[in-house]
Amino acid sequence: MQLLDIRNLTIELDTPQGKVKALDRVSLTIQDGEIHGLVGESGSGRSLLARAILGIPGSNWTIKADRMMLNGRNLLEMNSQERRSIMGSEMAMIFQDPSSSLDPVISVGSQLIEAMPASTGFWWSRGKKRKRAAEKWLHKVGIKDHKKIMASFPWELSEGECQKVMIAMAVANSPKLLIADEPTASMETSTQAQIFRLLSQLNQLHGVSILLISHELETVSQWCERLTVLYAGQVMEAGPTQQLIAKPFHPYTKALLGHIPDYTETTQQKSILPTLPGSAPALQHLPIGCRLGPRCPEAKKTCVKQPILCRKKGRHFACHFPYTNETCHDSTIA
Amino acid sequence: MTAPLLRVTDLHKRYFEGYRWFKRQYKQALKPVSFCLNEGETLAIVGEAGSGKSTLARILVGAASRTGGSICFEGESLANKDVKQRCKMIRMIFQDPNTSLNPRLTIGELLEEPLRFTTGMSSKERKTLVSETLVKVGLLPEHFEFYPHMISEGQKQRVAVARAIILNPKVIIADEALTALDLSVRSQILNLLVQLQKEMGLSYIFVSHNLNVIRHVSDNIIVLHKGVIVEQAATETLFNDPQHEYTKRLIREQSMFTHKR
Repeated sequence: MQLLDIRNLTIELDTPQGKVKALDRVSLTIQDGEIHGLVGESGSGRSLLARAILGIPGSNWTIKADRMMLNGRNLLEMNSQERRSIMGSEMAMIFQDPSSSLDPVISVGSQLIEAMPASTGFWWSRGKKRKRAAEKWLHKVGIKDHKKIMASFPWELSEGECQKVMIAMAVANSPKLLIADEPTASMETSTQAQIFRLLSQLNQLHGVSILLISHELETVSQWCERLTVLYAGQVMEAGPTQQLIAKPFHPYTKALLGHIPDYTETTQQKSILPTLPGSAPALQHLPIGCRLGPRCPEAKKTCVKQPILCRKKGRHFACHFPYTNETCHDSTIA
Repeated sequence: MTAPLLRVTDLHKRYFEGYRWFKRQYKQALKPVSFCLNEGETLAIVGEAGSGKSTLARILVGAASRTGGSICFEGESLANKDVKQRCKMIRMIFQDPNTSLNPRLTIGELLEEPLRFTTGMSSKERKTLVSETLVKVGLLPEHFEFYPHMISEGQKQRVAVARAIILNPKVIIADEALTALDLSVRSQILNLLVQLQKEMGLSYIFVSHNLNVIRHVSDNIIVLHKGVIVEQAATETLFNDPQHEYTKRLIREQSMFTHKR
């Protein structure tokens, strides 16, 4: 069953230089109970996509989509009140920088209690119940000393502890979809491992679907069942992680995999790693057609036309010259 | 055998923490460490947060003072506060290229500054040297007139590298210089650093917690834990046969993030 189904989402930004298509016809499907990875460089529109799904657009955005369904309900037809009631209860988000997204002047405990679901029962016992719930969730995310954490302020805690509190706040209302926007940016390897273990535990025990946004392919591929690769606002390739990594169809995915130093084979130490020439384009100077075009090793004349997203055996790719012999007939964009 | 380029003996550092019963209290951030760095080699310093690896890097480059110990550069002891002498030999690349470059200066001015302060070059000589250095790191001489916000993040880090190599140093210290970068940009900068090492015979000291990258570039590794060197070995020896419990844990954690292909 599809939990989230997005077809041809386009986000246009109003900038002083005119309208800019920050996201160009992005399609994304998340199944019930899976961890879906979204990989892209900074500036590729990952955070825009996350905010568009959650429903917190910026003031200069124009969002257009063919379809945007969450659990069978159309997100595009809802008014802002209905959107707000879904936010936090059916989908929740963990933000990039945990220590700066918590309020520095309010103690962690009261912020956490605020995020707990409304409890029922006699009015005099409700406060206590919410506090208990908050403690219970702290225990569940792996914090043992709940008293000390709840009494302290966000700036007194380490990055990992802040992130755990954020996860507790997000998961307390038992959402169906959890959007994790770079949950482990600027963290130690051991803390990273803890956070990812926690997320996959939530996924298995509570059946929460997770959209994991990151720029590190090596990390994401370890934890996700399916991956979507984004470049400059266009979907390059999507598919099951194992297949995608074993045999990438798209030149960009292949290049990304080449960036990771590999020790299983005898790679020469200090050898030159394969890279794509140039750098990711700025939003004001996007190339026409396939946005990878100017940097792509396989680019030919036809690449000035944007390739359609092909679907073949559960894998999606948008390229005129993919690394596969299968030709594309069945397309999702017709 | 010739003397090593950089020899550090019993370097240690403690921070003043305040008074307690009228006694001065200190926190030992770095217990006495000793190591050597040869010319054209890369040394990596690995450890978790609070292990003193950044403190060590800052002391070496001269941004922090040491409490005791000696740093010998080519057999000569570096005086504790001789900044001018030191900053020509040892340069640093910082973590975040977005904040380490002055937004009010053009890239040309940024690169000229170290030359103005430490050498007696005329403005014409400085300009030619800046253009040459820009080409060396893979930018164009036209970037002289650009401001940092006009170029991409990868190019900014290239400017930071250019600023480090412009005085023709022997040692470059990179404090988490690759952590904040995107994957594709990271390998571009990594290639640049490796290539510069081959051309100029530079020595690097890498401070990082990403063992994957460390393994690719470094010759020797120091593992720091709570201010103590727990292990010190050549890269391949350390990865294939880690001795200390802490090193084993670090490698195990890292291997959780590297997929098997």
